[in-house]
Amino acid sequence: MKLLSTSSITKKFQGLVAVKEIDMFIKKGEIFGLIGPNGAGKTTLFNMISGYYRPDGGKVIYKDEEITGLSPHKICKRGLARTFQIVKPFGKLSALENVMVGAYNRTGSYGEATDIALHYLDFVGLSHTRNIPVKELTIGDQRRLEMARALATRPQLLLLDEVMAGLTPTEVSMVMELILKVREDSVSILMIEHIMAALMKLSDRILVLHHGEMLAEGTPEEIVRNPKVAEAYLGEVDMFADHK
Amino acid sequence: MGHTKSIFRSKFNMLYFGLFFGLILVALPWGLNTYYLNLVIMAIFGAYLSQCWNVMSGYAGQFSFGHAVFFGLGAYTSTVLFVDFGVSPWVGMIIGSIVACLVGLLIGYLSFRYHLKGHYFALATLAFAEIFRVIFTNWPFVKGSMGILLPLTGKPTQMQFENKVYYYYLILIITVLLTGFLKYISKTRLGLYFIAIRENEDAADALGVDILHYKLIALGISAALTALAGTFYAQYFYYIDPHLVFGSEVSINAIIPAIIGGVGTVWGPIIGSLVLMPISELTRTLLADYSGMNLMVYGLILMIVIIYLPEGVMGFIQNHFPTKKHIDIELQTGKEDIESETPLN
Repeated sequence: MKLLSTSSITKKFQGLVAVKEIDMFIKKGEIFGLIGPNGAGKTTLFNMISGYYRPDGGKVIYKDEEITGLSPHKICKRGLARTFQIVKPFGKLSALENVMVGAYNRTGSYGEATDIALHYLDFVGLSHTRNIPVKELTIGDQRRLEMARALATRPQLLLLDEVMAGLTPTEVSMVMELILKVREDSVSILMIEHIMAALMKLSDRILVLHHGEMLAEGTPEEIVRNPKVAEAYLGEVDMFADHK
Repeated sequence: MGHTKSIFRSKFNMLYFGLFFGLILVALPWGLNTYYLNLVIMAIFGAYLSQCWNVMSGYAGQFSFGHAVFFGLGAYTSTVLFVDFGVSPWVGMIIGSIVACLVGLLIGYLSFRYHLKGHYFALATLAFAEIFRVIFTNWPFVKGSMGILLPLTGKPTQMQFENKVYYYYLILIITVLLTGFLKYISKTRLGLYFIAIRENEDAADALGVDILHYKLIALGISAALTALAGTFYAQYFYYIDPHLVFGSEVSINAIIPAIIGGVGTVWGPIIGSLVLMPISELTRTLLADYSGMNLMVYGLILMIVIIYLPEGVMGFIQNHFPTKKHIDIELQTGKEDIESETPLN
């Protein structure tokens, strides 16, 4: 069953086509990886799905309803949450209060919001930081906090934008376990990641973007063996050869 | 166990402290002569005005440089209704609030809808305040730049008191109520959403916060409450004119106590006003022989404070004496705080 799908979704920035007619879908319970060289349009695609950019063409369908061009908070209400590539913490609030902002998405009660927030802080292993202002946390903790915050809004689909960037190897394996734990909670995941080892291990399917277009799609094994993918990542040499 | 007990003790102490402090506030005016009573009233008035500003600009982070709009509308609405139509300012005050709130929502909708943020939003509010000042200066119906002199009736039903003590109680009560309200909401969805919007709009949006909606709520509350201060001002001084109530001085007076005390904190505007009032009064009386000197010294002190206390007095206190400034979760769940436990040996 398709949870989220896009049909020929397109975004242009003053003539530059950042994302060009992408068709993709995510099934319920899936971990879906999104890769591509820098500037391939991954984050742009993310921003269109989560409502930060209005697409110039195409549709986003979530749970059989069109959500194209809805504002981010409305999309969040429908059960689609995201994290940011560059963390955006509420610096002066404590870790618990940060997660409570997410928890208030589903409840108006202070007690319930606190319980939900405590649950997800515990879930990502940050209970001990609950009373600390988050600007004092390490980048690794802040990334996990962003996950807790997004999860507290009770999504069915979680969009993770490079949650492992800048983390130590220990933290990476911790976040990998977390992502699997999230899926066990029947939350599907769409993730952008540059750490290939982690992505290959976690993903059920992977989509490769290149210059805003779909280059390949398939299971991790298929992607690894795809010559076009290798070319996209190491392709500068070949391009040089063409010009000669 | 020891932990629970200490919480209980501190709550108990807080209660006594609150009662003691409350009694002082109630008894205070009876021991003061008119000069000092006036000073105290002006200090609380400044605290209230700044607290109103704090709701929208401190908590929700939408920096306003034009709170004079709401102040002036409150003052003019109740005064015109009182002078021309015989409506009691107690009623006029409410109507003034509603008018200011509606105008605030309109300004807010226009600005926020088109994503005016930060400095640009502040400039827009300043522009609106100037527009209103110019309109009222040239509007014969409200007597233009001549201003309006309120008739002296001395009747409490018309919000006039022969004994200034009652003005003191009036402004004290609304200040306490507003501060209590801020203290209360800082734990609720409303308060956390305000702060979340201030700290990071995009992140708040991603977590389901309707940014426009909550910004307008903050602005609406702030505008309505600021209008009350306008009515109070008119009833206290018996005279208003466009410059006095729509001038940029009003907007600045709403901002400075909060900045000195600590923007976005419950006690900041109050502490700021209580610190500033004696400074401003002392410089004024001590330097009375040198015209304009008091303002120079006052300005100098402001600069020093801003350089050395960039987060205000409250920021200084929180940075140097960190206490439980965040929601203390132990109170709700009864869980022991492992980090704060002392080792057994």
